[in-house]
Amino acid sequence: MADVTQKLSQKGKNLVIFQFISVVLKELRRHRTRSALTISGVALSVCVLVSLLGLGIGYRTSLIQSIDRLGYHILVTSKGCPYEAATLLMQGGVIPMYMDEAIHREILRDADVAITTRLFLGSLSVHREGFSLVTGIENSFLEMKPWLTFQRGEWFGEGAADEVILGYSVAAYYRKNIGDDFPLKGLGQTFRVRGIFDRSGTQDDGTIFVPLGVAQRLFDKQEKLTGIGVKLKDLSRIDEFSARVFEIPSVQVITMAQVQRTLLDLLGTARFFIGTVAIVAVAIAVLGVMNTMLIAVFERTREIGVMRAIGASRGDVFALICAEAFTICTAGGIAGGGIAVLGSRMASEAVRAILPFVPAGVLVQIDGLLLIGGIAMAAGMGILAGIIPGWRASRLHPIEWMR
Amino acid sequence: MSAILARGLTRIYRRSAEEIAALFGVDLVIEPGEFVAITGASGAGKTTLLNLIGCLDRPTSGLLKLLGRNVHALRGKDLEIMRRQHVGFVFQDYCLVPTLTVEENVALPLLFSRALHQRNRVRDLLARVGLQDRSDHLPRELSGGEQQRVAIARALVNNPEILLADEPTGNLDSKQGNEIVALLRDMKLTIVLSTHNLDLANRADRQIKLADGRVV
Repeated sequence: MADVTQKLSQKGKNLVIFQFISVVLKELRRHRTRSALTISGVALSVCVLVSLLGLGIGYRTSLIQSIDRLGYHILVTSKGCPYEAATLLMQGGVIPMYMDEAIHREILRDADVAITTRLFLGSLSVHREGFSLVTGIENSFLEMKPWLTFQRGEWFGEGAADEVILGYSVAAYYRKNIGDDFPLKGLGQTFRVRGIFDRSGTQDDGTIFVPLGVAQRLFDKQEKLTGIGVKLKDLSRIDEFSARVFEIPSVQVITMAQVQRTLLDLLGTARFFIGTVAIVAVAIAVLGVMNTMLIAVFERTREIGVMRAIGASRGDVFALICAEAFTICTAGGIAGGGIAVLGSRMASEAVRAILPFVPAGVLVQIDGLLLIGGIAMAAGMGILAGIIPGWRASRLHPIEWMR
Repeated sequence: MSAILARGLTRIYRRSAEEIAALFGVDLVIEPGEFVAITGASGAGKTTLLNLIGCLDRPTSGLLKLLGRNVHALRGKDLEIMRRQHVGFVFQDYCLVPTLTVEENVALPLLFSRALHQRNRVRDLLARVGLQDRSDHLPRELSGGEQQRVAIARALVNNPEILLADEPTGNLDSKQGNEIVALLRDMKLTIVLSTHNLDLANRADRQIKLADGRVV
């Protein structure tokens, strides 16, 4: 008997919820244009919110991944601005300061060093378009980056002076294959494609590699380097090693932790502004929905009065108005989240086109948790936006609509 | 126990410095099962009296008892329960929710009293008012008489002891008006109906005439 009563009671509750939802949906359908516009407003703000948060997550993840995939524990460069050095690492900015090869020999003698690789970075115009990064490398470059493999072709031939290895994106962009000519317009010299690296998800994808000696000769900087990548035998010895290298004049040591911290500090500032924009977008949406609901309550004074007269409690009226705001915002949240997911690739490309430096990888990362969080936030916005209109509606005395 | 008992029932509206006595010192007793017509000219206080009995408004002074309970002492939820479970209200202009079907309109009080499992009552009542075939229609698809029938079914769905009807035939032609009164008579409830149509009033068990807010 108790079971039957419980089942009937549950069935009754389900019916009430179902009917409640039906009343709310029918009310929203009554003013289709208004509902659609309000939902669109919420969708837009949720799309902005989710995309911006996705950008924050994606940018940070890509940045960390890019730094991790540099392969070095330490980069030794000539003394200069640390931000410039960080840019050099991440994007290959050209620093017009060089150090002597002798410094490399001195570092090699250090007992803590496992591998080093000498780097010479410069930028050149390629074909007729823009500037591309040209990096002079030596054999140990691949030892530093074991994940960097050849998609096609191979390493430079012995003593080759006219060969290039292309990063994945460069080869794809210029549609080059092994054996093709590759003119470097800035030098008036044509090279031959010897190898093409597989996609690495780092700035290496967008780099043209030449042998170190060739790069030094092309830029007329024989016996000069822009950087030395160092891998230590024991990472816990990094402070001692850095202190020793600091004693070498005109040299600065950049640890990957420092780079990460510097760039993440910059990113943190950007994220603060991103967060502010997202909060403003959400606040505008909440105010928009609240305004719509207040208008709806004003228009429906009579209907609400009738509902109160036929038995609706204040709580029922409050719940109906809040449920309408909740439904609008949740629908907007689902639509906005969907648009953000579908448009994330386009947003990534837009960010790449606008910002001067972006790390490789997926820039706008919208995962399930972020999407659900965005929709939940929209639903929360709905409840928030429904409180004042719902409260005002629930305070209406049944007699007021008759006056 | 009387269904409705009023002693010195007064309702005064204040507008700025002006006081308007819509109802003044009304005494009345209506027994269970009685069909009473409140008559009087426009502004005589008929609607004010029905609003007070229907717990839609509160008296300025005087005593009002519904089914033995002092309405003045009821607050908040108790007042809502009284409106929801013991009194049904039929309005002159039907006051149906335009977005809901006939069946949903009639079921609305059940939703508010969390009694949707008694939904078969809706179909019974629609059959009783002759609208069983129009349950899926929207109010705008019905005639005035049909909409008033829906309003009556809605007022009765919670099984109230008292049915109040404020000028229920005011917007209907005489044929439809007669049908509505016949329908109400058939309900065997305590019914208080306001009208300025004397033909309809004559079909009630008793008439209470108001003039200038007083029983005459």
